[in-house]
Amino acid sequence: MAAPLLDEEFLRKLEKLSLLARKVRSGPSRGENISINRGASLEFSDYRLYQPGDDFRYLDWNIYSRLNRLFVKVFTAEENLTVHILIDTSRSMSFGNPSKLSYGGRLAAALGYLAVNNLDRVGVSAFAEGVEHSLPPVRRTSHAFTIFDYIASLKPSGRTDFSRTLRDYSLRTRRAGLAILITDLLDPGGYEEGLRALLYRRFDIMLIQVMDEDELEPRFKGPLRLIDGETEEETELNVEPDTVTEYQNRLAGFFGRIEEFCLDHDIEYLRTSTRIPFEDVVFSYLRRGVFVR
Amino acid sequence: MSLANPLGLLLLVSLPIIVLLHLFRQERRRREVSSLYLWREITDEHSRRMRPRLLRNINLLLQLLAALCAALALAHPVLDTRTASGAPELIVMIDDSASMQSSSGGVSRMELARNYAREAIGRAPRNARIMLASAGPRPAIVHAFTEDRARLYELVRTLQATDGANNLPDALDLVRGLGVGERVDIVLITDGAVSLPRGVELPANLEIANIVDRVGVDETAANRAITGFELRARPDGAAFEVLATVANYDEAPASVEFRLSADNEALSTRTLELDSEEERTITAVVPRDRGTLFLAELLGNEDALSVDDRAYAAAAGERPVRVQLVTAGNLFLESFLSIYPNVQLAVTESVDQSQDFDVLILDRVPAPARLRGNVIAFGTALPDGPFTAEESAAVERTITSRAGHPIVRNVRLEGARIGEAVTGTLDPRASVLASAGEMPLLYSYRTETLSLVASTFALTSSDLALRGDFPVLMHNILEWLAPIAPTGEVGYAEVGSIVSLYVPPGEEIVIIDPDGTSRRYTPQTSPFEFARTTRVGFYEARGESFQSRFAVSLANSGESDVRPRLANLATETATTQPVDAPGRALWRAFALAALLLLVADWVVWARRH
Repeated sequence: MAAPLLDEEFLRKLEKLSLLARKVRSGPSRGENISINRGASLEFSDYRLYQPGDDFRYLDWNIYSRLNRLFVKVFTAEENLTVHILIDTSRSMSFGNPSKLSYGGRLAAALGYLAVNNLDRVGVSAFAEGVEHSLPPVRRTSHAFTIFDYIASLKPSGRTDFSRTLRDYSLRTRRAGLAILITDLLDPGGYEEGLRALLYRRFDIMLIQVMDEDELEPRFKGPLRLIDGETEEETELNVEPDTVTEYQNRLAGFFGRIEEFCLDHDIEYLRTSTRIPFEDVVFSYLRRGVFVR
Repeated sequence: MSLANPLGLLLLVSLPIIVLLHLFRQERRRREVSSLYLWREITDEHSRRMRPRLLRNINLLLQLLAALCAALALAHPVLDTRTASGAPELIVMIDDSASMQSSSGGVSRMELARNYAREAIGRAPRNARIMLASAGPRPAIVHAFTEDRARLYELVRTLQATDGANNLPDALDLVRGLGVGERVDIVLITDGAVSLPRGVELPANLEIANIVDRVGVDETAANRAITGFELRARPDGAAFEVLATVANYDEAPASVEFRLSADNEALSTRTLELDSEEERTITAVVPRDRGTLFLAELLGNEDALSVDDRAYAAAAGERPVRVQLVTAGNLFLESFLSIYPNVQLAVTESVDQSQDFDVLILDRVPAPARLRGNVIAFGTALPDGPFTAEESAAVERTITSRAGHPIVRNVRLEGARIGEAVTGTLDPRASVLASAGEMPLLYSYRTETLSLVASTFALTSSDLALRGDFPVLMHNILEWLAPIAPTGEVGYAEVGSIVSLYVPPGEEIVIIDPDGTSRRYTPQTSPFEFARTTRVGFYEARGESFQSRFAVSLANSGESDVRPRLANLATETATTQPVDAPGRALWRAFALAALLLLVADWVVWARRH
């Protein structure tokens, strides 16, 4: 039997965290007893009694003036967060040891478990040239194990077409929500159009870019014939220290453009390397980047 | 650098000759990469055709370098280290934030920083002009550019870590403001416990000297801290809500004892079991009569930093906001204002200027001339105000509001129905907050003596007061106008921030800081901006007719996580490389390098054959 995707102790730790969508993040609750049913869409749903820590902005003063009791407004979005986890399974994700897909899969499993645990509706999709397979969004605690099985079964194949995939996904998804993208973003076609398509459909996006250490700091040198892992195209190059420097400069520029794009479009962005222990990414980096609480 | 004998560079013609002698092709190895996306962008035309021949073997490299060094030696290069101002310049910037109070390798980080600063000053060229700056909560120039080393050493010796969070972006802005650009190297001496806000870029001439990395001590710098402490009045005014956040910055779980006190009396003590990296918020509801000075503490907490084991908050809004509502009758406004816990409401039929007020609300009543202070006017134009009324007209156009202004934040006026408003001319210095076409409906205006928010329509001629947006609008207006928050939201100031004290102008006040040090001030304007918030704790401000307490706390998660995050950007800083005196000839160094390279070339050749 294959090793489980996430061990039990790790899952127990995860239960103490909760996934933050931007809307929820700016929501009214801030006290110790934060309800899992929180949100801040403009669709009014109900009232509930004021609890210490609630945001005054959501108090209904009219009711207070009539009844002399404090009530806060509750909104429908808080009941309906749908988390879409999209994992890039193109061949470039098979690179590295552990592979970027294996690392990204564990990340997806952890975030999926977190969302399921928060009673969010969670769906997982694998994509390369298009959306290959999908696990439709379901809100059920036992759904976590279906997600784990699904992620464990993913195999890298095909080329990435990020823009077309996300455009198609955004069009065919009825319920927008929080889209968690786990990918290496190594698509010559670019990523902007796809992300814009999601934003246009009012998705809240968390973009997690997984890179291998060899991609960040290539350790090979000399006259080489470089082969593209996805397309099997070849190119000849003499990899010398200055070539590596030039590559790293371009990589830094590539990362910089992604950061800038994400900043401009209010997308949460995290870049990680497979060398960083997976647990650190979940418990430290994701927290610092305010992905989870 | 200049060349005393440029003809010496003629020796560079030997380089292509050496290359020609080494030309030959070499087999290429296959290597799979995840994607050629970024590699393909690299212009490799030169690489494909020339580099195999150029970089064929180590001998070729060594010979090329030797020829280059020989050419440079013959050209007689002279190093000129002087800048436009005549001498090299260096800025030594020391992070004096709270995390520098912790220790690394048994030595306080501030002491390590002082040592490094002394080294940096000592290693700078003899004629270098050095500036000393700090990058703590209130970035400052400790001393302007000077060649007086003794003075700088003395200042470095007296530098102490503050109780506040670092503020590197402002420190860099401060230096940039001096117009030094990138011609002057900046050495930032820090422990690396710095969280840079997103989007902040470090300048190219900044070199980071991480003293913790330098000590080479592999320690976890475990710290438990109170990273948030907020106090606010409940909307019903009966009690305070206290929210404290406790964090564990450690790789191991920790147990901490948390105590909350008010006016030196313990209210609750509880033991918290915190996981690694866990942050937990604790809430408590405290009746108003239990006290006004709140202290949150972690008891018996032996960790890297102690200043964040205590957090302070003060209910500074003891004096209520005094509101005078002048109206012929508006039950809605009266009831609405009376529910604010910190509002003392007086309803009159005409303006009573004999009474002091923080906010005057005029509701469809004539306004006296030369009004001063904070005024809200519904359907009333001030005689000497910014709006000259002409005639009433029906409001037929769609209402638009000015996005982003604090008064209309979270308020949607677009759907409100307004029957009629007064047309007229508005002073261009006023800000239109809402309008229907060209017709201003709501505006704000501020002069030295008057702060005004006014509507050109009466509340009774609109449904605005019945809408859910109205309480938010009123809350925003009161916050914008009134010096004290109407909901009584109170708490603490951050170390280094400015605290506004509403004191009677001309009255002498004494401010006593947490160490017990008293300072006297006679402010001529109100509010008086008090800036010496350098230490955490409770401060007291006293005057003949004035008394106030306020709190200053660290409560900063970025600062309490004392583990280094900002690494050395360069292994060698400008100051660790001694710079020769200006004009020093370098030909000997190049000649020696050429000789050594040739020896190395011979050794490599001999080992291969």
